[in-house]
Amino acid sequence: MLAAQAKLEAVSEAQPASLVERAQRGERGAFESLYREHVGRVHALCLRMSGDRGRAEELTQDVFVRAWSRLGSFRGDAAFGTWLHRIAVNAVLQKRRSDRRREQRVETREMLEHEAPVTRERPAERMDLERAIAGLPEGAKAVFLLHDVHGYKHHEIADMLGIAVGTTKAQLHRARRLLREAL
Amino acid sequence: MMMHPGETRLNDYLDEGLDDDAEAALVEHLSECASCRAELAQLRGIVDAAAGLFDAIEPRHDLWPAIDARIDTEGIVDLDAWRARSGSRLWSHRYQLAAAATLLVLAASTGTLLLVRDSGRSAPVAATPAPESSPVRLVSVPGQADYLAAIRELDALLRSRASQMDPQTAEVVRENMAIIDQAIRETHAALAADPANGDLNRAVTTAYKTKIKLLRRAVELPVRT
Repeated sequence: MLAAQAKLEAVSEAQPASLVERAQRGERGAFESLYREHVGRVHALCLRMSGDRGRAEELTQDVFVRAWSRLGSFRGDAAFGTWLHRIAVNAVLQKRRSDRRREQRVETREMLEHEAPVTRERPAERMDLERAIAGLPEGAKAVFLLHDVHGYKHHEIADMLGIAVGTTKAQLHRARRLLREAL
Repeated sequence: MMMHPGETRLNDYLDEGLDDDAEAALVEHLSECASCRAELAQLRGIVDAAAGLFDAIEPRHDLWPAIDARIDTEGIVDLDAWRARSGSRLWSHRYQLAAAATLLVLAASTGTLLLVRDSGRSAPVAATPAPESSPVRLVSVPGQADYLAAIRELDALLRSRASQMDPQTAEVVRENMAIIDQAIRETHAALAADPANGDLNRAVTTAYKTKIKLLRRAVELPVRT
């Protein structure tokens, strides 16, 4: 968890504010730079939450198109990456609501079996973890990914998902319990 | 020895969420309870492993070109954001609509027409824009029925308000509707010749969405009282 938060802070510190300001003035090149800097993290979240590579790429596109159209509302209260992640979470959840019929868990397992490097070390163990995460209930999965993989704090997650901090904690504990059982 | 702390307390300990007294009591318990130590070790293993996962996974290919193209057709329609970027708060409703409509239609129709004309290299039937009166076969695209239903509903609402609209605003709306309708017709004509063309399918969808957005903006305009 602490390591995940450190990763998040490292990304936030590296964020050049001037790029955001230039993008807000309509500079497409500045926005492309922001895309290049953040696409990996946005795509990782979309991929793990959606469980499908094609859908994750569509969602990643959606996130950046929405981000462009809403840049005027970004006031810098949070890091730009956090703001993007909020858009990503909402995009994934909105997409899921509009497409309930797909059997995502099956696809997720298929995706993970064929996914290229998702892990840093001890790939077999990490792959087991990826599979176990993919099998989590949606709410628990979202909170677990945001907290333990991406390093967000409970109040930030609560804000992103529109739920209470107590609920994010309960979902996180549930996710960890289910992962312990699965692994 | 204190009672077993339970899952919540162990998680809070792991996340450094306990106060000093609670943490001290838990540490004391852990020193004497092998089962709680084992449970904590399992939890710590999960958390450490999760932190070791890549938090960034690049897409299989560069998504920017598609995003860049979509911004041209979709991304500039948020008038509030656009206005915030431009720094102007003094526009009247009429000029807001005119600007939005022009941006919408120029972006959507330019992209669509370029696409149609580009596809015309392999589909000669699409090379010449269809005249307004020529019959065009509507090739079904995903969600088409919903788009058409929304357009019908909004169009009816707009017509019911037309007599109360500012005449100049009504003219802006009419002109821009004509442009987007032309784009829709031409895209459908091209799609009829090349039904498997994914870009054309997306162009039709984009054109429908653009028309819906324009209609929504138009019906939300204040009317004369």
